[in-house]
Amino acid sequence: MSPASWFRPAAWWPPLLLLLVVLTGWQTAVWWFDWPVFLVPAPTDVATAVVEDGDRLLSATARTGVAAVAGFTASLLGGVLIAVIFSQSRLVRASCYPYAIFLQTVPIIAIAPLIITWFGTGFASVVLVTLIISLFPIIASTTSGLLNIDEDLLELFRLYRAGRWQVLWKLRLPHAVPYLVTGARTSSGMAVIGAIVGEFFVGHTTTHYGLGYLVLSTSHFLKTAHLFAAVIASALLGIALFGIVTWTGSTLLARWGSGVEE
Amino acid sequence: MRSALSFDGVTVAFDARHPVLERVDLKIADGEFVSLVGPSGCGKSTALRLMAGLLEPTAGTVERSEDSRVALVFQEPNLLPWRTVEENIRLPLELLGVEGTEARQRVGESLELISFGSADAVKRPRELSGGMRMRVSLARALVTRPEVLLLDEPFAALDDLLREQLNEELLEIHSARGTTAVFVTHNVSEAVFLADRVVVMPATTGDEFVHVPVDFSRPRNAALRATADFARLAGDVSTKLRDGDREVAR
Repeated sequence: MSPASWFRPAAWWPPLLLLLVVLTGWQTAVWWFDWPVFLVPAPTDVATAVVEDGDRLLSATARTGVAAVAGFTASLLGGVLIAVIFSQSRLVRASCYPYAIFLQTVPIIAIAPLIITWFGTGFASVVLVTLIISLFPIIASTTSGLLNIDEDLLELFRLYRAGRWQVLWKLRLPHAVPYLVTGARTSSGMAVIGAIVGEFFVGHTTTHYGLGYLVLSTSHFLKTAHLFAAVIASALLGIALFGIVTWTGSTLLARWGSGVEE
Repeated sequence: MRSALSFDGVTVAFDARHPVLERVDLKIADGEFVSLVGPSGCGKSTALRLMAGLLEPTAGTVERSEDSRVALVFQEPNLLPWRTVEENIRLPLELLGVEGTEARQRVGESLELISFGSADAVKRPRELSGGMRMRVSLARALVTRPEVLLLDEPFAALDDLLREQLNEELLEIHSARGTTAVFVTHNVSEAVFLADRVVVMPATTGDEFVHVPVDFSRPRNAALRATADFARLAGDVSTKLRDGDREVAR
């Protein structure tokens, strides 16, 4: 299914129907087997938890959302800038690209103590973790968009004695936009994961916390229904950010003349 | 007659043992239309890139008249998908720093040459047919009012009918502008129809180029293709093309 078709209401019915079937089955199973609520809460228990916990959930979601968006925005700006630098010099690319991959593979749990040592716990550290986790897809896709250019087009620009700056501005950057959109979609999903994981390790105080802390604390206290509520809020946040980025990307590409084919 | 382009002992070798072109001499007169034919891999595109100044010869000299403007039309239209037709045509002017009224006037002129109205001018490349895209590519080349127009198999991907139609349009533009043109093609009939002279490139590097003058009067139209003289000349070029290939086979 192409990204644009996700926005058509007709595409929503089958998954919604499936959800309804699963929820009904789940509710019935909990009632039939009489599972304890701390092990498997029924959908109705989760709904009650959502209502009880509404304010807390909302503020935690907002806090995590802001961190995710801030980290994602930093990735977008930083990633494009790094990709532009990579595209300008083979030497820089050859020397630095392995480290960009290293950034992608380093386990965040391993550098969390370092981040806390340098930046303390709190919002800034969460944003930093989000940035580290969501940066690579932007660098990788934008770099390939900047470099993956038809030889004929480069010759055309050379024929009219275009300078490096003109080639970058009028050819490489616009050519990289569809690649950047693809990278941004991947990155937006990872940004939400990054923010929540960041809150696990480097991000919470008892008065200001996001979904990561909520997930952690509810599981500690075996408040499983509330844990489910936090997990659902996390998923919804991820879907929302991914949806916004995908929609913005499709709109941009349609105007770009190389829109997503349906 | 002043020559617009000349090769004097030109050699191009990407590696020393297998030169693509070897000691080539070639003169193209101002305003002349030359078709360049030859078997695949004989160096047609390399010759064109030398003329465009995109490639420097390994030995020998390539001369062009003083600061002559050169334009190149590729086999693929190579339009920028994020730009409209008009913006695509304007690109060379932007790169050369031609702006304002002058640029607008030139773009309008180019659009007129390919008979594009204002509704077509704001379309994006993906909204156009293959033939329309090729016309835009031609208009983009003409917008700088080039003295030398180089065409690298521009109509090869189009069907025969469209190709013949574009051949005629190209001749109209050529006669209106008096542009020197070098047209690389695999199609003998197309080569003869367009040119003042067909140059047959040899399959073996270093062999002589064969020149076939085409004396049909201008303006030419589709009726020319049906004449016996045309068929005879096209047959003659085909024979020379095959002879060149046979040399290699021996």
